[in-house]
Amino acid sequence: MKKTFSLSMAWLHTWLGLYLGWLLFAVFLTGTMAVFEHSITHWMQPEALVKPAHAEVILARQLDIAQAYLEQHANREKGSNWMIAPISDNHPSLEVRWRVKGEAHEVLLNPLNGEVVSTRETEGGAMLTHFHYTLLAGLTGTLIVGMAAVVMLVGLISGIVIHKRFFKDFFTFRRRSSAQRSWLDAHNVAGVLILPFLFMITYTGLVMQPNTFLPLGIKAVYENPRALRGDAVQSFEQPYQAETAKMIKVSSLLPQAQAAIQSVGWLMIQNGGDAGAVVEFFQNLDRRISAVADHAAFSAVTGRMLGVQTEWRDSAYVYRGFVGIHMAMFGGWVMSWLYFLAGLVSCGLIATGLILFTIKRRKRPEHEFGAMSTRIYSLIEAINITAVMGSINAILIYFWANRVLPMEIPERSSWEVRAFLLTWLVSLLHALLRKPLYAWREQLVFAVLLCWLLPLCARLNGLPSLLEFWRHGDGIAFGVEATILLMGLLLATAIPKVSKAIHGVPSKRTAGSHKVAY
Amino acid sequence: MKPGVDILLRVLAGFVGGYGLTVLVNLLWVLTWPGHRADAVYWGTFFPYVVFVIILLLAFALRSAWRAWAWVLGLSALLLVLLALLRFFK
Repeated sequence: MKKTFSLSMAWLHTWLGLYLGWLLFAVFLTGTMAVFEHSITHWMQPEALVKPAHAEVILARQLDIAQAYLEQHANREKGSNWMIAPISDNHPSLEVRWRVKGEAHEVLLNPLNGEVVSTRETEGGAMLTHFHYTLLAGLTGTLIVGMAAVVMLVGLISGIVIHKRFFKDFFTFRRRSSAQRSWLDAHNVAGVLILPFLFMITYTGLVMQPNTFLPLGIKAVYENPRALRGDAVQSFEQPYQAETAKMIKVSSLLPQAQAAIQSVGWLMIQNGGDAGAVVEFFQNLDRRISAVADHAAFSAVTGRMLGVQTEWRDSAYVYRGFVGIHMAMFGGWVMSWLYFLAGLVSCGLIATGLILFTIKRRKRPEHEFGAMSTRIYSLIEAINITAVMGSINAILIYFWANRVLPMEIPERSSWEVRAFLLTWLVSLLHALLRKPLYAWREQLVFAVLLCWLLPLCARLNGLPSLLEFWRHGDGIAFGVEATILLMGLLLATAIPKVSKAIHGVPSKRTAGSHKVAY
Repeated sequence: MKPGVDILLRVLAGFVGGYGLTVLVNLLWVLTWPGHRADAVYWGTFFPYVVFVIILLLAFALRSAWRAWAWVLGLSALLLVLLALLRFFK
């Protein structure tokens, strides 16, 4: 559309990058948080503080406690699914889940005495994961995120075309040169360093959801699209008998299950309490890169083994491999941290790209919108601030809402989410009212305060904070709060840079050229 | 042509055409895969997105919006003919 291929790509990179960058920043930021979804959920339920003694309770005992609780509280119901998730490296609590007439129940149990740990009502880290791929807007949201992912791939390719002199650019970091130059260099360094990660994470994110993005292909060969899963994951279910039966202790099946699938991560009981009840043991997902779980099923009444699946169809294994490298459940904490850092750099790449758009035009307006240009540029700058600082503050406000909202208000967890969403609106209003650089600085300062005052806020509300987490030996809650404090430090380093820009301290190069001029 | 109309036509060719072609390639792949239908579906979901990306890039790289539409419509027609033939001979 422009004179040359490169110019066309530059145009595409600029405009698609701007409009979709607003959305992509929020998607990448919440995706980065999703790496530590379970840790964040745990931190958001400070009543469920774990002690090192909890992790020492043997698996069999945990299963007994969970089974006893479920048999007492969950009803015998056709098609019911009871889930038991014992304590593991990234799952700090003993948790049971079940559904009654479609309504989901989740309860944490103390593994020492079997008592219910009553926690505040929160959606925890799961809300951030959910936002990451649905924008909390269901199917429509997923389709929008999918489209943004395609645009992200286009942005990566057009970005490479623009920066053909890639490696020359890569080794250049003109930190003390003009502001625009150093933003550009930062954008390039971030982009090149994690280019492989960006292609991987964006592509796998797309491939993960064939049912949503390519439903016609499945319907072309499956009358019932659900049967696809059945061709990949063997089902050992038994028909519902509509007759109460005493279940055996599922823990007695542990040795057999462990022999069949090596390690047990979690289990499901189908049709619990019925003569047709089945208990299924699943392997932990951190055993390998592909997110498939070998499983072994037994009758929960007689204890007879119904079947084991340890072999996977190649195509399904590769598909779940893409899921696995997107969600990073393998590789333990080291891998999680690498994904988290790569995610942060990705956010940095998108943010610097957005900033670059306005800096370039502040210096040399391009009148791309005719007479309205100046106005539209400042609107774009306000939306940039909302996209970047609004997203950061929204997550922090979500954390604060979790700490300060009264325990007894109805729909407490929805209010946490409302606070999260409302932050973007407030951020936009603020950005529209203030001059751009001031808006950046004020929202940065606000974010830093939100990060740093969180432990104080917890203390005022009589909740445990950093030091108590440490003293109790709850490494996960400690880790989350320490990371928030560190993020505050990271954000704080940006404040003096904005202040400098406000006071118009000229960079060395422009100062030098002034001397020559006068 | 006004620049606004040109851009709009390209956006439509890139997104609507891009997604349409992705679906057609996916369908053709799934329907011609010789093995089990589950393999057809899984192997068939990995490649088509590349088509989307290429069409989106092309829609903005080509000299005019009409060329972009010519490519999209031409390729769609080709794939539809192949799909029709496949149905006919099955």
